[in-house]
Amino acid sequence: MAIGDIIIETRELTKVYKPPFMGGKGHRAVNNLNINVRQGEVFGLVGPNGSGKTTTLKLLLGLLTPTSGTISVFGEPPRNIAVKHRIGFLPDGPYFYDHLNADELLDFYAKLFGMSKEQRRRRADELLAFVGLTEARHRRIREYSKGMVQRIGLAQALINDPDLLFLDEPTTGLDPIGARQMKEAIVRLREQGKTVFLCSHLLADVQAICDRVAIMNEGNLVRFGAVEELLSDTRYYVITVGDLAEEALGKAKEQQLSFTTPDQNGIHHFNASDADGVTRVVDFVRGVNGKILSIEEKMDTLEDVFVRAIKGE
Amino acid sequence: MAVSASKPLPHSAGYAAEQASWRVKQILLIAGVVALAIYYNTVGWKSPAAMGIGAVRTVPPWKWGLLDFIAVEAGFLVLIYFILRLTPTAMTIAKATFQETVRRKVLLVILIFALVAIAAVTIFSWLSLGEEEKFIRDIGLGAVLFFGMLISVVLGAWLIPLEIERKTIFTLLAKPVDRTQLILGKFVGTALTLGANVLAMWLVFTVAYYLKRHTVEEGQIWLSLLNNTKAIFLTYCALVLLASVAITVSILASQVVAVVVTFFVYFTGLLGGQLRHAGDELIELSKRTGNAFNAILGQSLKVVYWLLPRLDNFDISSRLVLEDPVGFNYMWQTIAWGILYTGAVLVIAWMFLDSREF
Ligand SMILES: Nc1ncnc2c1ncn2[C@@H]1O[C@H](COP(=O)(O)OP(=O)(O)O)[C@@H](O)[C@H]1O
Ligand SMILES: [Mg+2]
Repeated sequence: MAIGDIIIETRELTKVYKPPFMGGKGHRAVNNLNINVRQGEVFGLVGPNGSGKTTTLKLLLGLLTPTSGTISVFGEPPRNIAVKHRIGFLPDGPYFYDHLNADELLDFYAKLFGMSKEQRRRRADELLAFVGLTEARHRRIREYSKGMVQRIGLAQALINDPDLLFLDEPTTGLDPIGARQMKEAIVRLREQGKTVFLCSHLLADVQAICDRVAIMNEGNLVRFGAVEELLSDTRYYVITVGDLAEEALGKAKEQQLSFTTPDQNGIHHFNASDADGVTRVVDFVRGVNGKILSIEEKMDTLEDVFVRAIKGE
Repeated sequence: MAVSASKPLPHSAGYAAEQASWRVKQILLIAGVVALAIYYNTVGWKSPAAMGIGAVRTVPPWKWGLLDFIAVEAGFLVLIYFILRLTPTAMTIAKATFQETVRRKVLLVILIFALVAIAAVTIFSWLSLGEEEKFIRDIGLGAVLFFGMLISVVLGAWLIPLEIERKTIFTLLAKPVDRTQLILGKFVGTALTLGANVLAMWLVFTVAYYLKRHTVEEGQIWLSLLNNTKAIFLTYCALVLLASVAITVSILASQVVAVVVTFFVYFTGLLGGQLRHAGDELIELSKRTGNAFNAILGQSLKVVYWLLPRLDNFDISSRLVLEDPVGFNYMWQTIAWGILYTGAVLVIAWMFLDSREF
């Protein structure tokens, strides 16, 4: 198994939630989803609330059964116990047996993997240090803050040193520092060679740490690819210009240049989509004796791409 | 290109040692069951008070048939199979379940009520007008059964739903825990918690009984205490059975339905033989009068009787009062039926859990 090999693949994956009583159509939470995840990447599944991210995740974990379509995780169906030895999972808004302390909780989960007493101790030490809970290890989880629960959640997901990690909304509900620590942890895990599959509606976070993303809306896949690719066709330039006379603006309109109305200081912003466009604006400004104050390259954020994708553009 | 190679599982030397030590425990448990089976099949079945002998009973005696014979032997086999199926994973879940449920507040409250009620029996025994022993046994053992039933209903009905509600089942099923082991582990944990509760009740009852009766009964007291212990052990088996019913119904329906169904099973199960008796009477009646409705009613009563566990067999307080000895054969014959019933119910639970979505 090498970096870049496909380790998760879904084909025509569909999930319809049955209505509680007979009859009715049910709710199509995931519709014909085709995605794949490669070894060693951080993969982001993004979409607004209710778009089917958690449903997809539960399908991948074998907690739900697909209505149609197939799933393979490490080449196996997701209910396979051998698969579970190689994965870790942090649910959305996790909750743990809160009468236990962090040590006891990790010990319990480690036992499920058949680790010996000494292995369990060592692993707990490592993980508590990794998530920064060494100090709090003897306190009950009941007394933990949300951020601490999320961190012990990450620790339990890593208990078996998994190759593949599923994280559902890992940064949601954390304060900025907590969210940042979580993101740093994910990046470190990638450096250790782990594959991370995360669901999130927080696009800035996804943009910062994911290699590839799939954007979902109402159960459908609307964009799928490397983050850079999705953003690269959104590059544009802003040329800030001062000292333009009124009649110069008329000429600019004739030349079909796009610009904004001036601010209080009489400054205009011209937009250009590529290098040629920039040259045309620069030539024009020189021709009318304007002053070029700056030329900046701009790029859409994932959020812009996302909003356009959702609107169906 | 998709990958299909599975990495060998990270088993360590320590893991092998734990596996081996669990195997040893399993073998010891099974050896215990085998010893019981040998005892039963050589000496035990001849012990006094074989099924239906000697007892003055309010219901027709349970006739000793081929089915009972098969059930009694099958009970040993099912018990052995059950022990074999338990893995270290199931035992880990069982231990965690026990640790969590044994301190659940609702259960503690019920337990305290039970202990107070059991202890109070001896205080109010002057009400019994001379039949003190009967009074203490009837009410005391009745309290163990009734409060134990409340505990097993609350315990069983909330066992899995709570795990789903708190979403802890997601993390559990994302670990290498197959659903058979989950249900077995949860069940064993429940049985352990019930055991701890029943043990507390047994202790209080035994002490209370001793304090009240040892001057009256003198040499007999130890026999009485042993009989009480037998009665409470059978009650415990009935409670485990009830809990398995509650667990199963809670998986396929909901907590509330589980509570209702288990109460129903408890009350009608205690009627047991009387239900069958009534069914027979109705069928007889319809033969004489030609009333088809009575026949249908009678048959349905008998169907209900066959579907329900014979809880009345687990309640031996009246036998004890009648000085009807309770031998090992009676104990095991009753327990074997309980094991088969519980096993069947757990298989249903497993089937529903296996297809259930979370
Ligand atoms: N158990 C369920 N039964 C019925 N509908 C559900 C269930 N779980 C989720 N849904 C519905 O499926 C859709 C997708 O939900 P979900 O996958 O949780 O979305 P996301 O994680 O993207 O916010 C939502 O409309 C939600 O209401
Ligand atoms: Mg979600």
